[in-house]
Amino acid sequence: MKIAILSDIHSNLEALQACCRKTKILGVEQYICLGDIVGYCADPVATLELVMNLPGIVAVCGNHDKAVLSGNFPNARESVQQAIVWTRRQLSEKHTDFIRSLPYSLHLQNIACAHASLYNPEQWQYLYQPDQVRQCMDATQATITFLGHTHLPILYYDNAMGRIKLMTPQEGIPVPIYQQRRYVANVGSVGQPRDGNSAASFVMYDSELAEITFYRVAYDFTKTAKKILESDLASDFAKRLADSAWEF
Amino acid sequence: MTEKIHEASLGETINGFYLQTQWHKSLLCTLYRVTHPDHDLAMVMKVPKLDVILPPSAYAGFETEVRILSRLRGVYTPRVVGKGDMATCPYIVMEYIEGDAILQATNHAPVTVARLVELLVPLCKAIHELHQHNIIHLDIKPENIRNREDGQAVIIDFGSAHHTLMPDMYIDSHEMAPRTPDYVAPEQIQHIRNEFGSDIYALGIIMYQLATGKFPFAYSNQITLYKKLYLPPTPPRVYDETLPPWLQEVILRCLQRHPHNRFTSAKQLAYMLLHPHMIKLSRLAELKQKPGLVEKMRFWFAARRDKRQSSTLLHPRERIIRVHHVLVALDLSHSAEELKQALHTTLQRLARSDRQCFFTVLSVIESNEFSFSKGVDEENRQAHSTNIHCQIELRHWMKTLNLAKNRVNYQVIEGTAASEIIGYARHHLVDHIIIGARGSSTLRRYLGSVSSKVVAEAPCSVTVVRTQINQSTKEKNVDPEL
Repeated sequence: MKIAILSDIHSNLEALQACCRKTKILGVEQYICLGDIVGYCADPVATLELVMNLPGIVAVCGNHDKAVLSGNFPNARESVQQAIVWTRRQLSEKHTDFIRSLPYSLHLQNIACAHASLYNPEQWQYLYQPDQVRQCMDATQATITFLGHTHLPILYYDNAMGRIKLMTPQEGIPVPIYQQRRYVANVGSVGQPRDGNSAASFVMYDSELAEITFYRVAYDFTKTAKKILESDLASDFAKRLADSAWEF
Repeated sequence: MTEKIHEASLGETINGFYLQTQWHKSLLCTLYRVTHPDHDLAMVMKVPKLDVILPPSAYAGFETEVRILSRLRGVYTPRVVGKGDMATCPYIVMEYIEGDAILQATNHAPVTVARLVELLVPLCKAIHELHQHNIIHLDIKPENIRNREDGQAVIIDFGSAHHTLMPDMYIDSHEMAPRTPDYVAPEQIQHIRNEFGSDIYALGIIMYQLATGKFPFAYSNQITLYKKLYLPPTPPRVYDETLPPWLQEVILRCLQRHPHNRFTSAKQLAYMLLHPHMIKLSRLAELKQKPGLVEKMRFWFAARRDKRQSSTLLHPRERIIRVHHVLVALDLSHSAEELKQALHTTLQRLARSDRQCFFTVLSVIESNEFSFSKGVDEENRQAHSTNIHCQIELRHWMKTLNLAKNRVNYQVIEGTAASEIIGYARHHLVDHIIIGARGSSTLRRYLGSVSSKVVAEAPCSVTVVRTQINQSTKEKNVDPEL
């Protein structure tokens, strides 16, 4: 079965639609969403509707999703805080109920999913250090763990000596997954990539071939940016779609 | 993990594969000759050893081999017939290839220069093919090279290989990666695994071995292994003064300490072996003595200055394609001046924009041009003189491009134009063909369209050059009122 893993959509409808077009061509049968469906961009309702209607969708919650429910985003910048409040105003009860139903992590056969890490997922830590990746790997028996949160597509694996190593995946090149090894794949971000590449990022997992493939999909981010500028959201969010930079 | 895994053994039948005889045994794996009722070809099963205390790398090497071989299709690697579940019964069944010409030749080295070239060219092509797929073998040695009946080299044992687009199981665990000290490149000693020049270095060692029957660095322990980093190799002509200088140049260029000073690709090496006159000889070609103290000190200081070599981020394929082999098919006798001019302009643009590309200018003399000759000797003489005349014309035609001698090679072949051009491109792994389109419809009708056949059957990109004058003439013919 081909499973598409999407993360950090952040209300970017155009990016999500572009990814869905690509997944349709690839023959994806099931979707996993790794949270942060809302925040930053101006289409939270349409994005949530689309996510909720994806075939076989299973999802976990992200820190932005949780913040929308609580109306409070601790340690966030003021513009991000305002975006949370603005997003909350757009959502109906149906949408908030869906977000409320999302778990912090989930396991499907030999794969595990979380937004930030499987180790204390509610702490939303950013996985950069090998020790953090090791903690995440040790929190599950699953062969491969899919994460988002950092917006940077990357693949961690344990090498011949059991040390955590990383590789920057090449777009469209399948990477074989072996049962006896452990992998942590950060699928990048659909709606706000931060690796200098403005194209939306997602991963496809082929359970029959035991392969994962990272994909990038170009989309019209000027349209998304225009919507942000026409709303009450901070203009920085629009600029960031083009810059795709980690820092503003 | 190992308790649950079953290690296949002699006499067993696994998934229809009957383990008939043990063919080879090493510390890390056992190889069995196997049969299967559904497969007629000769097969060999590789089973990783699990019953002894082994480093985790033993299993990682097997995993790497399965991963790489399962993805490759082609004549340069053994065909994979079956593989077992890595978690329960790991094995891989491959096509068995009988020939081991290079191993035999190294055992009976030195061999003649002609034999060396004959053995090395197919090997270079096989390694080039791996590099094209971003695979660096990292353990090229005679034992890992087999030969098909037609002489084609087949590379086996990918246990220490690195696919630059896949997770590398040996990254930062280099001490665990299986390697053969005699063939290991200096950068491998420095723990660099993503340098495809390491395979070119191993080719240099094999050539050295074939030419002299010796290794450039005698290996006895880990300390002597480091000689490769700090000492220059003994020139092969020290052992055999009769070796041609170009061969020494080629070998010593492959054995350069810095990978960027070696040949850019295995394909380029094969081309040089087949066209020794293209090799620009340096002082390396004339060395006939072991490096003296001064030379050794100079090399040692240079090595000290050049600390750990930084590995390049480019994948092998990206680097290989930087050096383009362009085949220019030129029909001097039947091409109009305008077309020759148009071809010339195209080449000029290419040579200026791409300073690393090299050209072969090929002219095919149609076989029927000699048919009027009576005796065989007379025909040969006629062919020889036509050949020389053509070569002179080609050189004259290319002169104004002012290309360095080692960037252009001239070939005159007798035969049918299209098939000779395609055959040459296939044999020399040409990257790009530039050919002129015959403007005259009468000639095209008579001789057939060479360019359209080349476009249809060439193994690489083809640029067909036309003259704008021809097009306008054609338009005029179609509609005279204009």
